Amino acid sequence: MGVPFEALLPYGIILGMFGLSGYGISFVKGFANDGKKARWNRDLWDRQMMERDLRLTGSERGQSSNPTAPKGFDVSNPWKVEKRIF
Amino acid sequence: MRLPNHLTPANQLAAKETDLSHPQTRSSPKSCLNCTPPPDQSPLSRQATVTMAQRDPQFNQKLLVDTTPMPDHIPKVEEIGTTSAFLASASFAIGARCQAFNDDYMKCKDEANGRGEFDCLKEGRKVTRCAASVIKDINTHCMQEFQAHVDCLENNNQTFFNCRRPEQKLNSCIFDKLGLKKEVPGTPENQVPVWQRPKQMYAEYPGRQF
Repeated sequence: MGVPFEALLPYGIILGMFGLSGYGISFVKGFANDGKKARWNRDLWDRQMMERDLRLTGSERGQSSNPTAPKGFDVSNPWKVEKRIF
Repeated sequence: MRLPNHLTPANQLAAKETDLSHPQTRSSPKSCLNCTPPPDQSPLSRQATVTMAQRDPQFNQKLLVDTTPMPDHIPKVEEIGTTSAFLASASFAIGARCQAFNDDYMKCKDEANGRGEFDCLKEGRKVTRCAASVIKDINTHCMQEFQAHVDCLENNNQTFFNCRRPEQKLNSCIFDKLGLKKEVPGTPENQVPVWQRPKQMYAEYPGRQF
């Protein structure tokens, strides 16, 4: 006695939904990291170096071995302004 | 798991013990803004001066970009345009060639009582020029190995212990062409240094990397 195909439909939906969300997350992650593996466990140094990479190459994961910076780089370093609390 | 002789915890502890019992390391004073550290300190045991720039900003609302260029009476130096992974990959070569300049700059900053950003500009320009020269030389002589190591670093969260194979090639190329040898100050002398061990303890791939 076979299993009616209606019994397997929910499993198909479950598989499809998990597969779709998994593929979507990995696509977004890859898109945000220029196709490289994502960074993890970043500390203050890593974060500020990634901001520096963004200022140099236009992407947080972009890399360049250019020994001299492009014009205007030396004045593009932002101050992070805090509000006075007291 | 059987460990090689030099990796046993007892030996590591012993190495740490000997490092700690070094007289210069033990007498590290509290770092402060308004006092000078004692002059006989070695660069290894020196603590950095605590400044506001070392603090993570809290609840910052906006960024302020000040595009005023440096005044004309300060000599110009070209900033380094190398990004994080390339800098990390070249760091030991930079350290090998520029150690004197770097130590000079850090000593100047330590003795400047928190005014190092203004008083040590001359030493800072030397540091920048020296690092740029190293990057230029690696680019012309070892670009392939450099790029391969950086690609590996970028796919492994910029951790060195996952990338020993490209690092070995890069190190040997830099040593052959530029004569710069990778050395880590304070490494115990009777052991194989960690970057020359084929198996790395915390690497994703537990076997031999090269």
